[in-house]
Amino acid sequence: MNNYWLKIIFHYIFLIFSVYLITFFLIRLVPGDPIDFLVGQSNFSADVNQIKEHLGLDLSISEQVFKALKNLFQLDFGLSIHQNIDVLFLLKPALINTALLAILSISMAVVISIPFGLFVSYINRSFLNQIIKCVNAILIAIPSFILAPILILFFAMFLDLLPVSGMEQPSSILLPAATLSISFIAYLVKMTMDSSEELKDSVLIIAAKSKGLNLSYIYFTHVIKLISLPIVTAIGLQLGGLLSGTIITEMIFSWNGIGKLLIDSIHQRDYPITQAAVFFIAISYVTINFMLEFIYLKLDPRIKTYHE
Amino acid sequence: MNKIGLIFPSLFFILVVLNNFLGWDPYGMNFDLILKPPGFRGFFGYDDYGRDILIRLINGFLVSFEIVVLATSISFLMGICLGCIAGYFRGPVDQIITSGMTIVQAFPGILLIIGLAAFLETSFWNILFALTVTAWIGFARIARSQTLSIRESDFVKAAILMGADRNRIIHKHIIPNILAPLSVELNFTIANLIVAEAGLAFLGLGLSSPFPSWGGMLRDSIDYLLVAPHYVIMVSLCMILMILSFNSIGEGLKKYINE
Repeated sequence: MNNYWLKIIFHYIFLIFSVYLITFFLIRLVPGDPIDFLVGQSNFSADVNQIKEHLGLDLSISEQVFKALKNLFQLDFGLSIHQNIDVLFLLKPALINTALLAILSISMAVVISIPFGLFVSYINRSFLNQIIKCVNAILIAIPSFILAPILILFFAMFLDLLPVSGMEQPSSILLPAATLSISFIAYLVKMTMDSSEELKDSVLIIAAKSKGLNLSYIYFTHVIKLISLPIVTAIGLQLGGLLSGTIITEMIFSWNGIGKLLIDSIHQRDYPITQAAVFFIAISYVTINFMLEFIYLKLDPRIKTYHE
Repeated sequence: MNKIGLIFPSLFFILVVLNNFLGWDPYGMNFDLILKPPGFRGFFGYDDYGRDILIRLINGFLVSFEIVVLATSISFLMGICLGCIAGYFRGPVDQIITSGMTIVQAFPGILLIIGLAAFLETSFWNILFALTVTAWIGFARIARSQTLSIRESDFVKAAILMGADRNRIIHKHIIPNILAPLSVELNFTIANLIVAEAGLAFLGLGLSSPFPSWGGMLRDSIDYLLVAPHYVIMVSLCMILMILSFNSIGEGLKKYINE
């Protein structure tokens, strides 16, 4: 038991450090001297030195790594170059906005797709199944930057129900959340249908049937428990797609989340923000995967014995 | 049914070849035809500068596809080499390669591609680099897990008993056996990279603007969503069809191999 957790925790810490160092050294990829790039025309040496000190580029590499690690422990991600405020101060509201969007879209997807998938496999009409599988294949493959304009065109322009973009009204979260959740819904419906189809002929279901249990009762109490593990896995895997999907979706709907902060900072060449945003998105992804390990263990205690 | 997936890409390839011979001009502007909807002249309509959308789509496809195919083939080779090495030698070599894979995978989706593109100069080779860095993981994972299981199979043991050396086992026994699942992954990677490359262009991090690219065209078309919906519809239709085609080719291959 201890060995298993030690391994996972060690893995987690290793990932945090390596992700941090990668994001830290991204700035070294800038062609030539990043300082020349930032200062541009005004080539005063005072300016240059100040920015160099600001970015910590006046130190040697080993000193830079040391300083970076020290900053990580102090949760110091530097100052924004353009606005001259603490990066964390900018990141906090952005992270909250993104989390709001992600949580809403995931809960929308789970609430809609799992009952729907179970219901479809419960009715079990091959014609309906074929149609749903086709629609699913299309919806899974469709990228967010294509889906978003279609949704805007239909709901905001044609029906005039929801705001096109921005975040002034509470209802303006609906379109970006729908954009993020639609392909996820399709994916979850596919998962539920596939895994309940696999279970259909299992001994467990036959036993429950022979006890005289109602088929709908079997589906919504027994099957739902059995398919929860692959679904949690799917949620975990899909979160990666979701977290990077928010970047583009936030840009389209000008939702002030971390993705928009990231892209805006790239266009403004505000490197400390870019570094911190990349780091935080990656870290939240790693952390979610880390937490999934706990949930797996709760859902399926066999995993622990397997690892021992 | 999955053969339908071949129709659209091959149609586009024919158009690309025709374009090569006839030299349709993707930059030719015609101010009388600005945002003109599809008709007999210009099947896909015209964009905001009066340029033919179909011709721009064909030219944009050429550039994007060049990057995507190069990135896929480089990452295919990288994935096979590193995956085989990790799976065959195991031990510390395997650990180093696997931890490299987990580090890259800590960046979800196209985040690392965006991060790299943000700091690198936007050029053909740099975008290629950014795409390859993330794409090799899929191949390496499959190659590694397949090699691990094939290494324990009886025919490999027999080959070792007959005195075959490492090179011979890897080349003659392992690689031919892992090619099938990898070729399935190949199609999915192409589809994913088309999306990733278009996403980069959409965010303004791809090749610069006068150059036709699908992502860039989509971004431009969103500005004219109300005035000229045909622009956005044509571009997104093409992209969806292309992605679906490669996905369905992959699905078809998977079914064929499993049977």
